[in-house]
Amino acid sequence: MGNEPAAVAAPASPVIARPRRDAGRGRLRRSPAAAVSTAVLVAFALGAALAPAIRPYDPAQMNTGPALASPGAAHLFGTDRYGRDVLSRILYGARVSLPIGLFAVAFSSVVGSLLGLAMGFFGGRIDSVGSGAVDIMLGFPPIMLALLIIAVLGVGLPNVVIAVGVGGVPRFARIVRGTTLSVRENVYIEANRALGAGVWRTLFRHVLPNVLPPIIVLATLYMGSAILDTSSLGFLGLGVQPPTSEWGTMLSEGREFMRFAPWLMFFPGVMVFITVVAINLVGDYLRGVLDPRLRGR
Amino acid sequence: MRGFQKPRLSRRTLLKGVAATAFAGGTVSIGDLVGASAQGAAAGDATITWGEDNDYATLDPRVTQSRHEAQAIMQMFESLLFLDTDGKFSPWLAQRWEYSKDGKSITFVLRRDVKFHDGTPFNGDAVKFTFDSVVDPKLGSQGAIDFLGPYKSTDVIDPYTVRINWTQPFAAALTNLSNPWLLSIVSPTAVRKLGNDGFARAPVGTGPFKFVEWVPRVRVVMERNDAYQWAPKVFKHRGPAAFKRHVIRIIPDNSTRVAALERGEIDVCDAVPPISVKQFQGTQSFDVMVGDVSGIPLAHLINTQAEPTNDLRVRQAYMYAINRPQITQQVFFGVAKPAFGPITPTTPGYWSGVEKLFPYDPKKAGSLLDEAGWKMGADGVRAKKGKPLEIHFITLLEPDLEVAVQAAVKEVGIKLNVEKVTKARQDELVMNGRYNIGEIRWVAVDPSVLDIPFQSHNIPAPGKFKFNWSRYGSPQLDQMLLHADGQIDAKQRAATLGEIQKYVLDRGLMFPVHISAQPIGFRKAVRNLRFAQGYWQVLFYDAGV
Amino acid sequence: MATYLLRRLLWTVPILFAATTCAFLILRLIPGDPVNLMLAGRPASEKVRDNLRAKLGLNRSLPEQYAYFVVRAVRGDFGQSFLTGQPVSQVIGQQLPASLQLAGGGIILGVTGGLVLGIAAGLYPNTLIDAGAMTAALVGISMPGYWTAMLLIYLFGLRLQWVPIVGSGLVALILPSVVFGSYAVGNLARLVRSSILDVRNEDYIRTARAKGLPERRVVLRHALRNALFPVVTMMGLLLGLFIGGGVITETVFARQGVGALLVNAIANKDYPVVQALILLTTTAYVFANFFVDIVYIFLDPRVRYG
Repeated sequence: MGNEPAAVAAPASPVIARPRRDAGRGRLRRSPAAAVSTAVLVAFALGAALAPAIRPYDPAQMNTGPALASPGAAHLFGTDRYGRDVLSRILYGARVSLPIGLFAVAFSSVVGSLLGLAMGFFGGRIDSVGSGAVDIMLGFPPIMLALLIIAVLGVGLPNVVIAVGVGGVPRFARIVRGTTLSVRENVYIEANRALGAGVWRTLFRHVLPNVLPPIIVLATLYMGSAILDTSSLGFLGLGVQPPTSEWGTMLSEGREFMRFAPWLMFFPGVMVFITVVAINLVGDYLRGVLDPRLRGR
Repeated sequence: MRGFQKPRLSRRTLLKGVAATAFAGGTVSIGDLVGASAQGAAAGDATITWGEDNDYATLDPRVTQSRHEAQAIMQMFESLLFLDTDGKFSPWLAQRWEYSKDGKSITFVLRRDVKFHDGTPFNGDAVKFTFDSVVDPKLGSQGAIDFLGPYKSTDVIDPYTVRINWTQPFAAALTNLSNPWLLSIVSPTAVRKLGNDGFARAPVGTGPFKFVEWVPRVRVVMERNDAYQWAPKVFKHRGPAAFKRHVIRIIPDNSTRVAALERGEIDVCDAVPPISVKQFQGTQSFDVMVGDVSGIPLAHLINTQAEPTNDLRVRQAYMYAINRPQITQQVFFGVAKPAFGPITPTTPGYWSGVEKLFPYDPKKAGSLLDEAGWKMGADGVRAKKGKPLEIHFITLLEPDLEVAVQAAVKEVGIKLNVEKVTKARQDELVMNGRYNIGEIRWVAVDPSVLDIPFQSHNIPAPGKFKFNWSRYGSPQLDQMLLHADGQIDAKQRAATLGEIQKYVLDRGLMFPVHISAQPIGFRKAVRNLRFAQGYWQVLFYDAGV
Repeated sequence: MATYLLRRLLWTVPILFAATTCAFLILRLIPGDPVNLMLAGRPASEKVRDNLRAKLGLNRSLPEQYAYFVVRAVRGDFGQSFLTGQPVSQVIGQQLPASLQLAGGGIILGVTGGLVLGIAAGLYPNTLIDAGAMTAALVGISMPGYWTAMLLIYLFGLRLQWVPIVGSGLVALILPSVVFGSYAVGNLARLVRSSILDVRNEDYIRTARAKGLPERRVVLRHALRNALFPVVTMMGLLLGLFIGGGVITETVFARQGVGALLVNAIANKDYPVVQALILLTTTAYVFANFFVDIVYIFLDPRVRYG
């Protein structure tokens, strides 16, 4: 009921990430774009994880060099107004910006999928009430929902995760519900039930594996939005408190010095951008693989 | 993009073009300028626009505690006498004044030709009404009430003579009464008609500009008061102002406001960020005037009632751990100077002995903390009985500075949790005592301003937003403050003030950091801008293009 | 059709109901006494506080308060702002035009850009044009709005100085509209391309081709009809989202607008304004979606909704 938010309905961009069918062997060859993207994401994750070991300076250390120094040998990404090394802050920023995106998606997908499974499988009142709640939540503009949650809970990272996570729940719920409904009709399931298999067993052993592909695709695609949204909230000053670095917050700090030190806004933004592009390309690839309708286009 | 030049150069080239085309008001031909300044058939019809860095909540002088609101208020309201930046008094709404023998009253003879913007006459009743309402709890004054001192009453002896009475001699009486920000005279008719809340949104005074409109978060518009004839003699100009409209545009974002000045959207820019000051100085069309603000410098008030700052040694360690000259230089790019005392050197009564107290001494800070039981941990943060040394710092005024302070105190093992707050959240935390350190600064020309952070009756409580954020109430300190307030003899007053300054620093109630600098950027075409007393606000009466 | 529309209209009721409840509850969920917030720390005697409590209606029962809230809301009376004391409807009214301008600009640029890219990609699939358009689309949906804004300000405002950074005229609307519309461009381009490709393989297209009509004309005339669906959806989305969605754009460009107002009100605990904006936003969103549904019906009478 209602219209799908366009963001979720946008089909893959197969031109770039289309998995090419290897005509000779009938297997799917990987798309180079998706491969590169995965490599990039792995590199970022590694960088974040190893930050304490590989960082050139302590990210909170002031006066490691002259303030607002342009990128150079000593400071690859330059320094900020306190003389803090931007590269180190970006590395440590990854430790915040990447996980909160991940956690937000995890929240959305787990809660939303469970809800959708229940709604689709059990039907009846659970479905009616659940669908109603989902539609109401979808009726709220997304940023508003996030801002409201922050208004009630207060600022801070955990609240940002919850705010963005809650926003994604209805989408997961709806998609999972749809898939569950179609899977439920599967004769195999009916037969199983007729034989007396338990509800939970059926759900997890038989329904879930079929529902998993769209969940994965949606999770990957939503991850991009999650990172954009969490960094936007950081940009608005609703996320971390000083001196923690987070890519969105770094951007808002760099804004004032835009004309004197444009690298302060360039690098954090580029990191967010590359991360989201990579995630979107991987998501497109997965959709191409997992969504049978799109093959051959 | 041939011939592309670096921004500095191209700006200068363009600025030259501006000067050549006489107030084109914009640097590029494609440009849409709202409220284009300095245009109009005659200079008398001109509009001068001020870019303000802070939003307003009230325009009532009796209620405000904000130096930003004062900028608007000062153009529309006037006080009994005028205090210039050179420290001399001159007549304003009052022609002359005289102390009583016991020093507890001053009689003012008022001008007879003054009218409020609503046409009603200014007279003794207006003065009495204003001051009586300031001390009325229903009004909720957050600034004026403290500046009025131990006010008792005002007697209207005849329509143009009033006698103001205090319960004891009030040394700051004349100075404070010369302050148009807080103790200016309001129109009783307007207040009675609109109510306090309505008046705050549509103020009526006697000043050279009268209120036209206020769109919150956007602008305040004022117009020349054509009936104005009573300017203090210090001004060059006589009669109504030389230009027609005065607009205050509220642009809180620093880079946007600076850009607005460059492009001619505003003529005068409030609070030019230090890094941009050099950009405007020495150019053809722009200049910067920097005021060193007097009164209370930007200082940290330390809560003596909350852990761990309830321990004097912790407070003192905090104060030894911060290198004020170095931090000030770093954060303000040389535009501001460090401060060492609760009042600035330009404030009367300043005791230079404060400069020797609490020099930067991290070793001493460390040993004080060791003594207090806070041992350095492996992670660089001190701890006592398993609890880390965390201090909750709320910042509203200068978060950039406080981030530097955070890094500084980390060196001695203090974990400063800096929370950037909005005014609403700050007020909530302050009233409920849920903070360790907060910031204060106050523009003033008289040392009685020390009452504001140190009088025990100014300790905040739920429903009561006042500024004694160290929450220290001692009858001894109260006595000293009262004594200084009442001491008419300058030398004796200075002695008591010296004691007060030493007292509050020794007890770690306040940690002064830097003297506020107020860089005002302006187009050279705008003449005769003048700082008001205290060097924060700018008076526009004399100005012209 | 009529029943479908009626059902859709009826669905807006519970959504609006939930929105009003949220709006109403928000003041009571926040810790702290609303009376204190309204007084903002001004000293007040018990009598003044009781008066205020009565004025805010806090001494009545919860259902009664809710009823009053709804009744007043319908009349457009949302009380007074805690910050300035101004009537909330006035506060919002002052900020609304700027937001609507931004939404308008964003829709125009977003739809135009999205259509151009999407049609180009759909007409020449699997070519360089297609790849180029889709790359642009990918960039559009991956760029953080605040970053796009800052880059544009830096490039076109500071370095090239083609466009003013501040101001409220039409020219100053260009950059913010580009930012606001960029996500729409990206999404729309992909959707339009997809719609066109869907149609290309349909029988009636093959028939038209067989009849000898030029390919481009065929595709454009028939496929475009199909492609209008996502366009209309996107327009509806943008229109409905302009309140909350403009937040980032308004903040970076330091523009007036209800998005910035909302963030400001939340930060300053100005709850009457927050309440009113929740209602306003949700209503706008709901009716924008409803409007989209109506347009769908005119676009394609064959569409049957379940």
